[in-house]
Amino acid sequence: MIKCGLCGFEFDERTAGKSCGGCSLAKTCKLIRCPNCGYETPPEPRWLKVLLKNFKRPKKDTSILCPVNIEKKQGEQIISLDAMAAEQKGRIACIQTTDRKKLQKLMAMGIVPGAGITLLQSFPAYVFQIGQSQFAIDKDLASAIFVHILGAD
Amino acid sequence: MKTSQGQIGKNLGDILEVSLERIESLLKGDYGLSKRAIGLFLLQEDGELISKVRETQPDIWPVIEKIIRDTKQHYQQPLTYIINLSYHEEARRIMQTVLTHMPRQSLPFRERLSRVMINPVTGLPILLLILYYGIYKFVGGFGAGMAVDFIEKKIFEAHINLWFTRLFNLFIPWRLLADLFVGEFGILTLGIRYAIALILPIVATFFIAFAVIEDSGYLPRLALLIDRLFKKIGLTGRAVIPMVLGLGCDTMATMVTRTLPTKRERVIATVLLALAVPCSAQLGVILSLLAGNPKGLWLWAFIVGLVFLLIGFLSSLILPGEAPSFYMEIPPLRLPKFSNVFIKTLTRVEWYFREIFPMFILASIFIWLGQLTGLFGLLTRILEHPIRWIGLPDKASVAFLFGFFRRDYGAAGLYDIKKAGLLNGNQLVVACVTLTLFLPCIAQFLMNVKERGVRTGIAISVFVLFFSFSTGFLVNFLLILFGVHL
Amino acid sequence: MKKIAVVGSPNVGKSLLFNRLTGAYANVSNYPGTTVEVTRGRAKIGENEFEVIDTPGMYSLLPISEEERVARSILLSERPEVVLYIVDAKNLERMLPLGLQLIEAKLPVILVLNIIDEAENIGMSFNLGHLEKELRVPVAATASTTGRGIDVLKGKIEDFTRSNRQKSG
Repeated sequence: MIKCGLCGFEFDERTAGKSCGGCSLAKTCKLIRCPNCGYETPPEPRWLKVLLKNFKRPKKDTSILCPVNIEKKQGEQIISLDAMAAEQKGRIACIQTTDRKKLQKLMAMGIVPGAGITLLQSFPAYVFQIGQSQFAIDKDLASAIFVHILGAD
Repeated sequence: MKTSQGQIGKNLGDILEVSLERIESLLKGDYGLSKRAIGLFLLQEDGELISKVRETQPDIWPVIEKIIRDTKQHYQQPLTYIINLSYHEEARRIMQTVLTHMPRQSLPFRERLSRVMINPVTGLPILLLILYYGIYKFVGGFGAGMAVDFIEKKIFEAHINLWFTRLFNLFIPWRLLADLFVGEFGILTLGIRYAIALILPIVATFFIAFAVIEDSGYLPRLALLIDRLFKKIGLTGRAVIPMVLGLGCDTMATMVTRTLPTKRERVIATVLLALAVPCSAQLGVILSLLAGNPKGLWLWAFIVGLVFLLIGFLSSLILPGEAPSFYMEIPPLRLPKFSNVFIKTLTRVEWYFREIFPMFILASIFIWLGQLTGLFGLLTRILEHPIRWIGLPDKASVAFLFGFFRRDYGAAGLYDIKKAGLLNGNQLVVACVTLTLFLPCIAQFLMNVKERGVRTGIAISVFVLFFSFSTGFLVNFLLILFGVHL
Repeated sequence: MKKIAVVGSPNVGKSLLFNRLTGAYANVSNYPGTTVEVTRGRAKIGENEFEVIDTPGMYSLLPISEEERVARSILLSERPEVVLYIVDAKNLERMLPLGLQLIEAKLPVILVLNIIDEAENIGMSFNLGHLEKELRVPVAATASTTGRGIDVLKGKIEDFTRSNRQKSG
């Protein structure tokens, strides 16, 4: 896996050839083309790859956002958005995703811990309201949002 | 703890602030934004800015890289999350001093209407209503029927065609050249006549309807209703926009596929637009062709719809890649403003004329050349074979040949044949189905090449060519097999 | 010529406001994606003429899409005299974070609370003076569909550019 120097996108260099499309030099060119932004760089020399492999430290997973033990007060539940029922209200607890793009998309919709959210509908898409805005998302995104359902009233 | 540069009083936490200060002290020169902002982006590993810093100050990069790594180590959560969170918390704090909100108790009408629209049970009937009144009645009925009748009969046919023919025959002795302009397929008699009399009213009415639907805010609601269905064909609800636009003009819709997030979606959408989405010009003529034959119309719609879903489904299986997530903001329903609708329609019609109109002229020239060189006649004779295989009379092959240049030319050609009483109900449906699925018109083909590349563009055309005739053959075969007479 | 960059997420009436300032025809659209090409126009505000740039929709200064990259590049490279940050007034809380980012980046921001009429219809009222104090940038409320508040906005742009000129001496 290499990281594009221009846009930061990580990809497998063996698949990078896919984005070379109709380029007439595709067969002979040795450059690696980032499938995300098109930036081209020469590939890493093999000896360097071998060297680095032995020196790479295991990456610490710093991207889990929902703590394993979520503090629960009596009567409170924390469930993901796709498990909520229509018209249920709650407050965002946390976001569970390792994808930075997804994270930014969700936060741009106002999904931040503490924000009040109401699920309006769950079929055929998840429609919710935060503040004065409404959004529709699919199950994939909905399952990443965890909500405090306020205590049994 | 003092924040760097004494910003809006926001404090990100000790380690983050310290790292920011260190990065800021290293940055020299003008990057266009404050050093704190650049520092924040570097910490979040923004690719573009990282390369900019590496370019401008290559010596400090290793130091910064280490600072980033160390800072990340320190926190459980991604720095982006922590930083964004602090902005949101600051926003919340500010809002409390700035906003007074006295919400109404009951839901306003537009909200209630919205809920009805997005509810799957009531949403579908509403969609069908919009399709019926918007597309069938307004574009098909008014646009195609009335406008065409009016312009064709009163103005063009009666006066202008005759006038031009006389004029040309008078001033241009060479029959060949005169033919280019006023012959059977001449630029003026066919090219421009079709553009203004046939296409303009239909396309304009479609764009009006589309602008109204667009401005009302209905499209995102439609998108959420069909997202699940679209996921089965490798797309998401967002693709509803180019698809609906395709009912107006496939070429414009293909351009809009740019907005789809992944390459896979863009390719699938382009294929479906080229194959199974009839543009308004074509729709208008097909609706008039099948006007007296409701069973035939339903069958046609059913077959085209089936092809759409089937090919979409197969494409999603064949093409590699994963479906992206669906997310869409649902804006409040708004009453479309007339001036807005007018401006949008005007802009789109103007685009249409600029991009598509030259194709009419081109088509007339190609046909003229083709006739001149005998190529036209040759191609017509070659096409007669597949035409016969699908049970149609030989004369229809000219219509299909036209169909490449303009799909509506083809449909209109069929109209003439029908008027002459040469097509029975079955043949009419087969012809309509095959023509709908037939090659994308020349403008759309060029757009396919432009947007998806030469190889993909040609591949799509080849596939569509074979598929459309195969389907025509199958439909004809099944109709005969089951002894159906439409 | 001095530039004004118009920034904000889609669906906030940005393009309509652009039209009001420049008086020119631009394709007004409700959904993101059609403004991928950058629209430019001219506006005469007070004594001065400005080039107005309508940037693609932006949710954050850290771009995750091609559009956002383009929008940020415009801000970085074109050095606008004024950055009009347009928000949907009723969604101010959700949209304020980007405003804070822009202000923190030391860009010349004027905050515009657009579609103010819809916010008022649902019972919201904003203390603009307080907001100006908190953010330390000029704030205006407008309704681009009716044209309400546009003159006030133009006045603020004028004052802003004048005081900028004084500051730089």
